[in-house]
Order: sequence, then structure tokens, then C-alpha cells
Amino acid sequence: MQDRVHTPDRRAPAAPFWRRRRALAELPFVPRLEPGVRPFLFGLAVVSIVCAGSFALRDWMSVADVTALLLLAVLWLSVAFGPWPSQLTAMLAAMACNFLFIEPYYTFRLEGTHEYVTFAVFVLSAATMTYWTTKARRQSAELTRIARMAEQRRTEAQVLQRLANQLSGRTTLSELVAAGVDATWTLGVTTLVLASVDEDGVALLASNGPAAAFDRAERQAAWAAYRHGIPTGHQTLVEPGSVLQFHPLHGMDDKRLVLGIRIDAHDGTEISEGLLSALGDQIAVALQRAQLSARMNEARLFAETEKLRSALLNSITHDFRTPLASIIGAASSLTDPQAHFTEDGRRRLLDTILESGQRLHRYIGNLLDMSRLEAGVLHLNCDWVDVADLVGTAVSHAEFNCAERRIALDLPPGLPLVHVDFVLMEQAFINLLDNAAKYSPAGSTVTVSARDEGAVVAIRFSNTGPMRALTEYEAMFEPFQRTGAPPDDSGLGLGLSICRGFVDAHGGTISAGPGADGTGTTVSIRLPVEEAGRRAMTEAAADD
Amino acid sequence: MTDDPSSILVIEDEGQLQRLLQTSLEAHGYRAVVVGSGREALLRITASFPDVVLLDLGLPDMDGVELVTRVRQWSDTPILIVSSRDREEDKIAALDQGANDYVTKPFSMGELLARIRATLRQRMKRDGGDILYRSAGLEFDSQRREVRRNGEIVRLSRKEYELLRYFVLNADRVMTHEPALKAVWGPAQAHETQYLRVFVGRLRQKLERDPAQPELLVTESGVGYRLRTLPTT
Repeated sequence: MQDRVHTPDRRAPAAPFWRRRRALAELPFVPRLEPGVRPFLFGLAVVSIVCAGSFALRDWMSVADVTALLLLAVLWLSVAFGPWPSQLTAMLAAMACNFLFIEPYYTFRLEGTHEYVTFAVFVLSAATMTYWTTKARRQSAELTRIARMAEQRRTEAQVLQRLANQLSGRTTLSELVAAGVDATWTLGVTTLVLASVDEDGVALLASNGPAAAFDRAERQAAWAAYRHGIPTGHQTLVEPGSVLQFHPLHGMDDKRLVLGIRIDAHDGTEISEGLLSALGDQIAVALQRAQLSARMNEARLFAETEKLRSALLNSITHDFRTPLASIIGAASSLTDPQAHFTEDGRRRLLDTILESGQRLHRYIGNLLDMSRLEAGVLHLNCDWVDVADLVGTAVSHAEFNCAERRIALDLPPGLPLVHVDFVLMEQAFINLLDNAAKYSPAGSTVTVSARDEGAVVAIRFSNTGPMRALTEYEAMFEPFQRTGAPPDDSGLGLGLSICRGFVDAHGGTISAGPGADGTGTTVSIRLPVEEAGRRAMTEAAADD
Repeated sequence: MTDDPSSILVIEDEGQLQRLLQTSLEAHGYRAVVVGSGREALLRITASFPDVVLLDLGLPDMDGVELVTRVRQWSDTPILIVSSRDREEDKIAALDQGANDYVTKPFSMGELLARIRATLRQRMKRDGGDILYRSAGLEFDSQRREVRRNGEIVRLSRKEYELLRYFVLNADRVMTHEPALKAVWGPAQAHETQYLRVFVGRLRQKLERDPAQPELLVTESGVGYRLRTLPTT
């Protein structure tokens, strides 16, 4: 499992300045003030500017023009800042208008009906406008809020859906954690941590990436989350100094687990409490599922191991005794002082010893490989390997077992390099060649071909011979299977299951089916091709 | 065989194999001395300068690789490793420490004798001058910087030539990947096995009769490559 630390680019594109709510306040000449005071000062400033401008131009402007301008200012302020700043502005504007533009000038007195009417209409208009714009503002704000909530619900639903998809099939803790971050990083989740809690303290079980901070504060928060069954840590009342927020995971039977989450909110999106607990629940369920399947696997493995063990004993007693009997028999005849052999007879006995010894050697090799596979201690010594080289070497080593069969190779030049353990893969190829030879008539041809199929290199081993029932092709790879009519020296029946084990260990696939022309059997191995394997070819060529 | 038979020191702790090796080697005209421990072996090598040392890696008193390292500090006596299949890493380590070749248990006597002969041959032709090397249809002439196959000149790129020259200098010896990469590409590329794969593939295309089943430049599974000296036709 490689560490998957996501660092996707989460910066939203910068909004144009007119969209930014606080654009004005960010201008350098606007003093930093309490947010509540700012609109009032702003209103004052606007009225002063309008009045000063109008006063300067008073010879060209009527009172009606000035009031219209001021009303416009009030309207704008009420749209921008709400009722109270605009009310204040309206009052100021009325007074300033009276003082500067209505006779008698430079007094707050009003004389004559006309002036009273003008003043009353101004105040009334301002109040009405403020009322309606306030109402409209509220409605629009409500709509925005609803829309935002709907959007958030939708995002949350998507995240939960994605989480469910990602979590299914993950079995290890680190896989679960990585999948959890995969699904939720759009919400700003950068770190997930699974920790178990018991009397001895808090133990970190899994986290995505090495960067996850898990220090004293985090441990205390994790402990508290478990003890009190509530969310703790970051943005909560308990241990707020922790970088991570912890949630207890419910429904775990044998482990007491808490989930730590680190959220680097990027655009103010908030993750609801509901989503966080849903996240925890899903991970808990996935964990339980993984534990259950691990237990079932164990049980199945145990049963299979038992079956395998008895099959192994049977096969050892039979398959090992036969060549041993030949060796002991032949050697004791040769050492018998009373026996007189012709040169030909002596030669035959010696050949028997040699062949039986080689057969035993092969069986032991197979048993060794099988037990390594079974024990899961297969140590892969991977390196870049030329497929043509691999096939050629396997063929040269298998020739002894493929006596009386012709081996035809079909290996186009320029196959990409694969990253495999040469020795193990060669052993798999040798086993396949052995098998192909064993189950085909003497004098026939075994064909090995390799093809570049993009994501994989496919290597096919084909022989001629009788077709098999389709069910037999899958059964071929089970240990101790000797399908079809096995020849006398068929051995342990381990060869193909070893092949499967080796190929699986390299992330490849192996399958069997009828041959291309309807006769015999074709076994195909597909080994993954990494981009580096192709790059290596061109790099190496360029280095010349 | 020459008048003075070559002496072989067999380091092997198992009685059966001791007997088999001594008998068979003497039957082929060698003088064989068998010892069962690493300590004894070191004494013997110092005292009697054997022509070839046959070393089983699984010794009771000493790590076989360690023994190779110690012998190489003061002696270039050819060392032939005998290893079992579960000691692949040791085999490479021993070769990298200066062992000359290896055989894997169980081996046929013919195989072992061939290796011993090749090791003895190597010993005779070590000198720094120009090389004229022949194997089957291949002819390598370092003085004229020419490579011929069945008498016809083969065009090799610079790196291809360098690599072939390296194999020729170490003909019949199994060469592990790292030293080969260091010698031809330089120490910075000592782990870029893919270069070696690609260039060995190319040399085979140009030099082998059947590149898919090479006879000259053969792969030693999981260990390295060997340039085999075959009789010229």
C-alpha cells in the first residue's frame, strides 16, 4: 500500500472585485473599523459627498434634482447595508437638504407649504424605499440561504455515496483511511486517523500519510471522545487545542476505536454534524465488514490448509517413494558383486538413477515453492526484465523435461520491460512448459508467444492434444489436481498452482482455455506493464 | 591433462558430497583436497595455493561470503561457489565479493567439470593488452575495434561495443548486474538494470544465431550474464 496523501488544488478562483462583499473595506484608504459602525459612517460620507457636490453646482441644479440624487443615495445604501444605515442617511439627507437647499438657506427652519411638502415627500419616499428594499433583501438572503443549504445537502449526499463506493472492498485499516480521504477531500478533509483506546492509552492504528499530527493534545482528545462518547478536539469544547476532531465509532465489538478528522476548510464550506457522524458510521461499518471477512477467510484458509496437508502427505508418500525406489533399486543392483551387467544394462540402470534423482529434485523444488506461497513468505526480488530473455532462459532450462517435443518461440522484438522477480517468473514458465509438454503427444510442438497488449504483456503457452471440458481449465490451477489423463510421472500436481501463486504475487493474471485452433490447451499469463517499463526502453536507447 | 595436475581445494562439510567430489575429481585427473570448515580452508589456501577453490556457501563455522571476502584480500585464487537454491542472495553477494563462478545444487558432474575448466582457462589468459577473442562465429578484435559474426563486420553502437568488450574481458565468467553497469555506464547508473536488459537484447539481435535462444550471451537466472566461449567453427 502506498501512502496516498492528497494535495489537490482546492483554491477557488478569485472572485472579481465587484462580487467580493468586502471589496470596499479592503481598499487601503478605508479605515479598519468595527463592522457594525462602518455602514453608518459610509452613509454619512455618501450624504456629505452628494451634498457638497450639489452645493458646488447649486446654480445649475434645482431642489428637485438634489432630492432625487439624495434619494438615489439612500436607495443604494439600503440595498447595500439594510434598513438602519439607510434610515440614518435619510434623516441626515433630509436635514442637510433643508439646511443647504431649501429657503431660508443655512437654517433648519421650514417656511411655506411648498417646503413642508417637499420635505415630507422626501422623508416618506426614503422610508418607503427602505421598507421595500429591506423586505426584498431579506427574501433574497433567505433564498440564498436555502439554495446554499440545498447545495450542501447535495454535496453531502454525493460525498456519502462516494464514501460508500470507496470503502467497499477495502480490508486493511490504511486502505480504509485512504479511501475515506479520497471520498471526502472535496469537503476539506485532509487527514483521517484511526486510533484504538484502552486502559493503557491511545494507539494510532492508521492514518493517511506521514504528515498526520498525533501528539499529546490529540491523544487526550481521542481518549475523551471514547470515554464520553462525544465529538472532541478541534472546534469542540473538549480539548479544542487538538488539530484533529475525534468521533467515537460505535458498533465495534472487540475494539474501541475513534476516528480523527482534520478539516482544512478552504471556502468556508462547513461540514454538518450529521455528515461527520455519518462518515464515522460508514467507516465503522466498513471496518466491521473487513474484520468479518478476515475472520471468514481465516476459517476458510484453515479448512483448506487441512485439506492441503492431507493431500500433501498422500502425494509425498506416493510421489516421492516411486523415484526413491528406482534409485535404491538401481544403485543396489549396481553394487551387488554377484551381478554381471552388460554395458548397455549398466548404462540403463545409471540413467534410471539420474532421471529419478532429477525428478525428486523437481518435486522438492515444487514443494518448497508451494510451502513458501502457502506461508505467505514469498519475497519478491523484482527488477526490470526482458520478457524475451525470460522466455528464452526458461526454455533452455526446461529442455530436459520437454524431450521429444519441439518448442517454437514467437517473440516480437521491442516488447516492453516488465518489473518482476526473474527467478520466480522463470520457474512459473518452466512449470508451464513442463505441463504443456507432459500433456501433449510426443513429437508435437509447444508454442510460446508474447504480445504487447498495452496495459499488459501476454505470454501464451500452447500445446496440441485433446481438448478438455471447460470446467477443467479452472480446476487446473488448484493444488494436487491432475486433470485429464495424467501421464505416469505427472508429479505432485503442484506446478500450475505454483504458477498461479507466482503470477498473482506479481499482480498479473493466469488463465487457461482451449487452444486457438480448437485443439490442446493455451495457458495465458498477463503481466502488468508499467509506463516506466516503456520509458526505460526509450531512455536506455537514448543513452547510447 | 598436463603433467602437473591442477589442484582443487574442496570446502564442503557434508560427508556424502565430500566423498563424491573427491572421487569424481580425482577420476578426472585433478588433485583434490577436501576440508570441512572455513578455518581449515583459510589455512590450506595460505599453505598450498590451490589452482581452484570449490566453496560450499553453507559452512558450519563461517559465512561463505565472508570467506570469499577474506581470501580476496590477499589472493586471486579462482573461487567456484557451490550453492543451494535457497541461497540466491548469498550467491550474488559472493560473486560481487570476487568469487569467479557458481554451480547450483544439485549439479551434474559434467556441469561442474566444465565450470572448473573454464575457471582454469580464465586464469591463464589474464593480461592487459589487445584482445582477440573468438567464440563460435563471433570474433572480437579490440586492436582494430572490430566485431565480426561469421566473418562479416557487425556494426555496434558505442555502448554496445563497450558492453561486449566488458563481457569479452570476463569471458566464461558470470557477471552480476551491478559491476557491469558500473563498468559501462558509470557508478551513477549502477542500479539501472533496464539499460543492461535493453543492450543485452540488442547485442543478441546482432550477434546470436537465434536471439530468442542465445548461445553466446546467456542469462544466469537472477544473477547476471555469461559470455560463453564455444569452439570456433
